[in-house]
Amino acid sequence: MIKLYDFELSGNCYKLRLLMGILGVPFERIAIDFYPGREHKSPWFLKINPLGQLPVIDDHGFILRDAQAILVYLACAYDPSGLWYPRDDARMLGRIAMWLGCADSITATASAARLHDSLFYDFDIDKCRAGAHALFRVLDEHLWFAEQEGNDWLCSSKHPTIADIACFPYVMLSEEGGVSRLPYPAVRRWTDRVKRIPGFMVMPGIFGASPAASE
Amino acid sequence: MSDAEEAIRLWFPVSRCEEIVPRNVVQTELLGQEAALWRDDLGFVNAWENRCPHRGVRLSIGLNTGSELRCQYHGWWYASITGQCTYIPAHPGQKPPNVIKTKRYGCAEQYGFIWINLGDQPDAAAVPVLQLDSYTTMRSVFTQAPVDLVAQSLIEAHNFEPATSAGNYILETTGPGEKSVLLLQPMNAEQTVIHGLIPSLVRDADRLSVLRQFNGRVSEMRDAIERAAA
Amino acid sequence: MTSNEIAELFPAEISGEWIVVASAADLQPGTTLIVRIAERNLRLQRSMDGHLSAQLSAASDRPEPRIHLQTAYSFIWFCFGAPNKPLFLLPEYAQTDGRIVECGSFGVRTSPLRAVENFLDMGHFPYVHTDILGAEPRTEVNAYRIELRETVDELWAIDCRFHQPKAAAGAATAQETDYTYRVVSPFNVILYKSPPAPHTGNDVICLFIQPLAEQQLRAHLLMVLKDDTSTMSGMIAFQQLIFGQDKPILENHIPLLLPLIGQSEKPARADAMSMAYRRWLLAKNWTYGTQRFAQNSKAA
Repeated sequence: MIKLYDFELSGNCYKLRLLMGILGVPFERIAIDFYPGREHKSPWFLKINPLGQLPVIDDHGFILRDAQAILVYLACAYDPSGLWYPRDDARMLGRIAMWLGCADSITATASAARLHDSLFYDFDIDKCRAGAHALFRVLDEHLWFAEQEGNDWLCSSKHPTIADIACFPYVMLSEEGGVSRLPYPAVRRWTDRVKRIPGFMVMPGIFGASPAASE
Repeated sequence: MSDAEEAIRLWFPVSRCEEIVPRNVVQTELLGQEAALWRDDLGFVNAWENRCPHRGVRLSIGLNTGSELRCQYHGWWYASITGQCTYIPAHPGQKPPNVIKTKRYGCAEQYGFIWINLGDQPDAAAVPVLQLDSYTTMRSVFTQAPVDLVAQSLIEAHNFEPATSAGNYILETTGPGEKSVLLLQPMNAEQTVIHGLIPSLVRDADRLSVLRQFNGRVSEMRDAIERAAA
Repeated sequence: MTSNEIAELFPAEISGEWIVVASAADLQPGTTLIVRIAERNLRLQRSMDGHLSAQLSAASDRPEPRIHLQTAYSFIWFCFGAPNKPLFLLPEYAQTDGRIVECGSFGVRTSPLRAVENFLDMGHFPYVHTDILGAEPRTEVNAYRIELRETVDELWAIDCRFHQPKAAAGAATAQETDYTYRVVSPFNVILYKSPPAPHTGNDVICLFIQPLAEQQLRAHLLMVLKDDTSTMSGMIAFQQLIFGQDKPILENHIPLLLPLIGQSEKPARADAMSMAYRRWLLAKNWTYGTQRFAQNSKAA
C-alpha cells in the first residue's frame, strides 16, 4: 500500500489524500508531528526527504516528494481513465503545468499567510496577503470566462484535472490567513464544484457542499 | 438625514442573476452589511443578513439544500422565502420557536441583476428605472476603492455621467455610439463592485468577445482607480 | 507609577487572572522569549537555575514586580496584579496512568470568549466534527446539569452525554461518551470525557486561551489521556484535527466579539452551558472580548 507521510492540517498533504480518495487508491497515513514537534526536520525524516518538507509518498519503495509532482505520479500510475492527467494532449499538459505552478504560488502566498496567522511563522504578512489577492483575482477572472465558455474546470476541459486538485486546498484555507474570498464569486462556484466530485473528502478548515440538485 | 441613512433606503445591484446558481450561497456585502444570497430549487432568490440567528455564524458557509439553508455550525434549518427556522437538530422533537428566523433584506431581480435593500420597509417599486428595451450584463469587477472615489474617477477620467437623477451610483458613457452602463455596489468604506451592462442584446457569435472587451476596459479603469486610491 | 498608568497597562479584566503565555518547553533555562498578551509585549526570562521573571518591553529593564509567574501543567502562567484566586488544580496531570499530550498552540481570529463557548458546546459535534465526535441522526443534546461552584468560582456542566462515532484517537468503535465541562476561569476550560474501552476514569482535554487582543487569540491545547496504544503523533494529530475543524467556525462569527447582552443571538435549551457562561461573565462585569453597544445617539 502507498504510504503517505502526512500532516492533518497541511493543504499540500490533503490534496494527495483527496486525489487518492477520488481515484479509490488505498493508502496508509503516517502522521508526522509537523507542529509542534517539527518532526519533518528530524534526522530520520531528513533521510526520507532532505528538504525537510511534507508531503512524501512511498509507493513500494518508490519515494517521491513535492505535492504537485506526486499528483502527476498518482494520476499517471493510478487513473485508468487518463482524464485527470491527459498524457496525449499537449495543450492540456501545458495548461496543467501552468496551473500546478500557480498552485505553488498560492502556497507561497495564501498558505504562507495562514502559517503566519495560525502557527506564528515569521513572514511578511501584508506581502503574503497581497500576493494571494493578486492570484485570486486572476483565478476568478479565468474561472468566470471558463464558465461563459461552458467549462467548469481550470484547464478548459469537461473533466477536472490534477490542476483543480492542486489549487483547491489553499484557496479554500485562505481565510485562515486573513484573505477573504468574498470578492471572488466565480472561485466560490468552482470550489463548490470541486466539493461535488464523487469521492471528495474534507480536511479541517474545509467543509463539504450540499448535494447537487437532481437533474 | 445622513448620507448613510439615505443610502440604506436605496436599492443596489449585488450580483448578476445567473451567478446565483442552484445549491450555492453567495457572500456579498453592501454598506458594511454582509448578506448571504441563495436560490432555492424553485428559483426564488433569498437575500439574508449573513449570520445565523443562533450563534452569529455566517450563513454563507452553510449549505443550500434547495429548500432551506442549513447553518454549518449546529445544522439549524432556515426555510426559503420566510427565513423561519424549521428544525433544530439538538432538539429534534421540538418545533423551533417562531422568533427564530433570519433577517431578510429586500430583494428584487431587475435588468439581469439581483438588487437588495437594507431598509426596514423595502419598496421594490423604488428599484432605479433604466430606459432599457434589452440588455446584456457584463462581468462584475471588484475594486479596492471607496464608492465615491470610483464614481468620481469614472466621471472625471473615463467619460461617464450619471444615468439617473438618483445619484452617482449608476453611470453611463457620454457621447454618441453604443452606451455602457456601470452600476456601483458600495461594499464598505474601502471596496466597491463595478457591475456593468450594455443596453442591447449581443449575438451569440459575438458574446464572448464583447464580454472580454468590456471586462478588459473596466479592469483597466479599476487598475487606474486602485492606483489613485492606494 | 500611578493607578491610572497601571490601568492602562492591561484591561481591568486581565488583571488578577492567571493567563497562559507560553509552553514551558519554549522557555529553556538561560533563554528569553517575547510573548504577547492583550496587545502588550512581555519579555519572559528563565535563569539558569530556573527562576522566571518578566518585563513589559516598553517599561524599564527591571523586572515588573506586579507580574506573577509560575510554571504548571506544561505551561507558563502569568498574572498581573494580585491574583483573584490561586491557579486551578489539575491533579490528573500528575497521575502516572495518564499520558500527557502537548498539542501545540494555534492563532485564531476571534474573541477568546467565543473560543471558550465553542468548547462548551455539544450541539455542533455532528456538523463540525462529522463522523468523529458526532453524526446524524444522533444529534439530540439531552438535558444536563450546571453547577456554579462558588468556593472556587468555577462553572461546571455535569451529566453530559453524546453518541460519538470516534471519541478519541484510540477509539475503535462508536460509544456513548460522558462529558463533564469545567470552566476554571474566563479563559481556561477543561473537559473530562470517558475514554474508549477498556480504559476507565477520564480523559482530560484542556483549552487554555492566551488573549492577544479582543479578537485575536492563541489557543493552547493539552490532553491527559488514558491511551496506551496510540502513538504520540497520532494523539496530537487527532486533537489538531478537532481544533482545526472548529477554527473556521470560530473565525466566521458576526460579530467576532461575544454579545453578552441583547437578543441578537437566540439560544436553545442545549445552550444552557453557554448561557450560564455568559451570565457568569456578566456577573463579573466582564467586557473584554464582548460586543459593547454605544449609547443610542441616533439623530431624530
